[in-house]
Amino acid sequence: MKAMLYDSTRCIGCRGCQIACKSWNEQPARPSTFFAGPGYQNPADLASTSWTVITYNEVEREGQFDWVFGKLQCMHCNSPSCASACPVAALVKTDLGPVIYKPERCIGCRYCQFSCPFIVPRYQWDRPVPFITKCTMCYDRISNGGVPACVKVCPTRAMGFGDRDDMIREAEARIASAPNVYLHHIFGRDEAGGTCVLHLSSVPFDKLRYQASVPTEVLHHYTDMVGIEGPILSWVVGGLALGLSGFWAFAQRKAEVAHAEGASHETPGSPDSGTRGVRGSKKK
Amino acid sequence: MSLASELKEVAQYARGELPKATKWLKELVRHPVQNGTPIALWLWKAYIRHPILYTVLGVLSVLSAYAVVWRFAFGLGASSDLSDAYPWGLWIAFKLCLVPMGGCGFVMAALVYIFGLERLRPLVRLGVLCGMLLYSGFVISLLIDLGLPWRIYQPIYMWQPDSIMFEIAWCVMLYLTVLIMEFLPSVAERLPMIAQLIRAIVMGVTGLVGVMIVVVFGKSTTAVGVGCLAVLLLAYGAWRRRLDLWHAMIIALVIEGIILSTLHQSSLGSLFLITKHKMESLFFTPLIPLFYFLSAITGGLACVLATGIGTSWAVGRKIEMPVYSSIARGLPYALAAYLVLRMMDIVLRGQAFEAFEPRVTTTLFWLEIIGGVAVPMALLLIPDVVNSEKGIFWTSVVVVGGLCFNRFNWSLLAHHPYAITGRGYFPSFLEIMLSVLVALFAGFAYVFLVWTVPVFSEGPLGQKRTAQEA
Repeated sequence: MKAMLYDSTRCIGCRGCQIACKSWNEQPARPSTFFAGPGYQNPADLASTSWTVITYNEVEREGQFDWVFGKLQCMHCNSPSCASACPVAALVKTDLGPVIYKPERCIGCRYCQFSCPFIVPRYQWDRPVPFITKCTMCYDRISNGGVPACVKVCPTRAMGFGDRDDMIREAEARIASAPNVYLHHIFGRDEAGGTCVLHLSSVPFDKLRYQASVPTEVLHHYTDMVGIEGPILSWVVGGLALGLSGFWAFAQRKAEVAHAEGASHETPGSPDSGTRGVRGSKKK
Repeated sequence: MSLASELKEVAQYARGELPKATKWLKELVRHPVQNGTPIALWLWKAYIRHPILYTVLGVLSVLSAYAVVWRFAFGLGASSDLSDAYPWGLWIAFKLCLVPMGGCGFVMAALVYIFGLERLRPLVRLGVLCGMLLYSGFVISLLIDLGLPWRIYQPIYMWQPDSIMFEIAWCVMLYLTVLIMEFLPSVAERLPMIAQLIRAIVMGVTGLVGVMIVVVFGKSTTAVGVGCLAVLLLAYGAWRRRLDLWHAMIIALVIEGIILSTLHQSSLGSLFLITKHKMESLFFTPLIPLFYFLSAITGGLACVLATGIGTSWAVGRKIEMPVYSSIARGLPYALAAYLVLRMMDIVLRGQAFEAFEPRVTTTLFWLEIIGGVAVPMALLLIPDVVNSEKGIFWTSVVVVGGLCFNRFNWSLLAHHPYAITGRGYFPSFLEIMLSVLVALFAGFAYVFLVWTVPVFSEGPLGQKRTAQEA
């Protein structure tokens, strides 16, 4: 499984990755302004035409302010909530690593947006025929042996790409080589059950405006329990089918016995208002 | 009325030997609604009787029609305040209110057909009709809310069974079908010339829905065995009472409806099980599906009580008080079960102290629990309340209101803002109008159907009214 490694300490905020992403994925340019978000950040947030955004953050370190950059994009979870949520399998986790989107399957329910812990999928709200958009880890490039466009273009090698295990080893080696610089935390190694985009930083990840509070467990655990494939639902369906039909059948038996004994009881559960069809009662 | 004669009639219809569909529809409408007067004159007469009411309804209809055009011409962004920060808004909350109110269909059918509470029979058809219309409203609302509504059928052949949304899609499809089939026999009473055809359709669809439940929700040889065993049990019951195939099929249909409702009501709550990290800890509990199911039972019962009394008041018919009172006497116990479980859940999850922190969400929580559950429960334990029309009506309205408040809390207010831009959400005018559209549809369809089809025990309400006027 492939993964990307973003090292915030190497990033200089040139936004080459934003441009490369737009060119390779043929996304249109949009008028935007500096200071739309905090500081020089531009654009303010991920959008249907901006699949990756560098966040600009002024963070206080050792008594002085410092520019620290972060990179927003799809985290390509190992066990993605969006793919679990999608009713038509429009979002799929590939063996190669990326979570990809098949627009021809999408019905537009936006449950993926609702469920994503990293708040990544974006919708084409401005279009009458809208689709979900998000980073594909340049699936078309990497499935042909290339590297993602943003990795390719990065001038300071802040972005790495390779097997996920190798990337984790690389990240651990960097932390070990400069333990005073790096935060001892690889963001994405365990978050949401592990992701295929790993982040290193010198400051806590919430300062980079990441969703740092995402828990480390797989987030569709509960829905898997109660869903169609889960262990509970089949017992509910089977129990109801047998319980209700059994209850009704034996109520009929009881009513018939009572009838035969000559008691004029209310007839539980005989369908429809008339006595049509209750042929037995006519005979007797 | 054997299966053979019904199949024969289907064949006759296929050969064109039976009257055309338009003729049946005319037959359905002509007598109770129009009573022979030209349609324009009839509409005008209705208008001058209640000019303010019909003016308001007319203006709302025009505005919501405009909203539909705008939404489909310019897209979701142009017609709503939805954004990437809040991809779900008023429409979802509204849908989550419609479905548990529509729980009246399965609850009433279960009480009368399966549990044999014959005394509640006068309210079965009303319950089924309300369920059918609220579910239809759900589907219309879904068509408005989906980005690509013309693909709404795609879950039929693009399977992703891990998804709760997939489960909901199938439940809605199958259960709306079941509700229509449960309602069709009442229509058949007005259309005796195709009654057998309708019966054949109902029986065929019942079988099909049963197979689909096994295929979609069972998916194993055990499920096939369980299904066969259930059929055998039904056959045994029918044999003991000498019931014919039609009546056994109706029982099967009701059981299918109960299974699908149980799954659907609870799975709407399961939607929120995937967003634990985004929700207030007071509201997130693994038991959400159970609470959604239980509140659908109380909400459904309250819905049928309020609708029945409200309609009776509006048309001046006599209310079958013993029936309504007996449901109203049972309702507080269902509410109590729900209340006790909610409280136990809060305590067992260690949220008992957090629930009293002075925050907006805790206030919402207590408003919902006290105002929507505890107060009506206490009121319904008072004999004077359950024996008066007004008492039952207004407590039922409070229960339904509390249910809707609960769904709004869960789907909108208990969630943390999503995106880093910190954008808020407030429903736009067009969003509100499109929800009004759904309500108008359900209302108009309700009036039309109770007017033309024998839903209440004395038959189509229109018949009585036109007889009085004549």
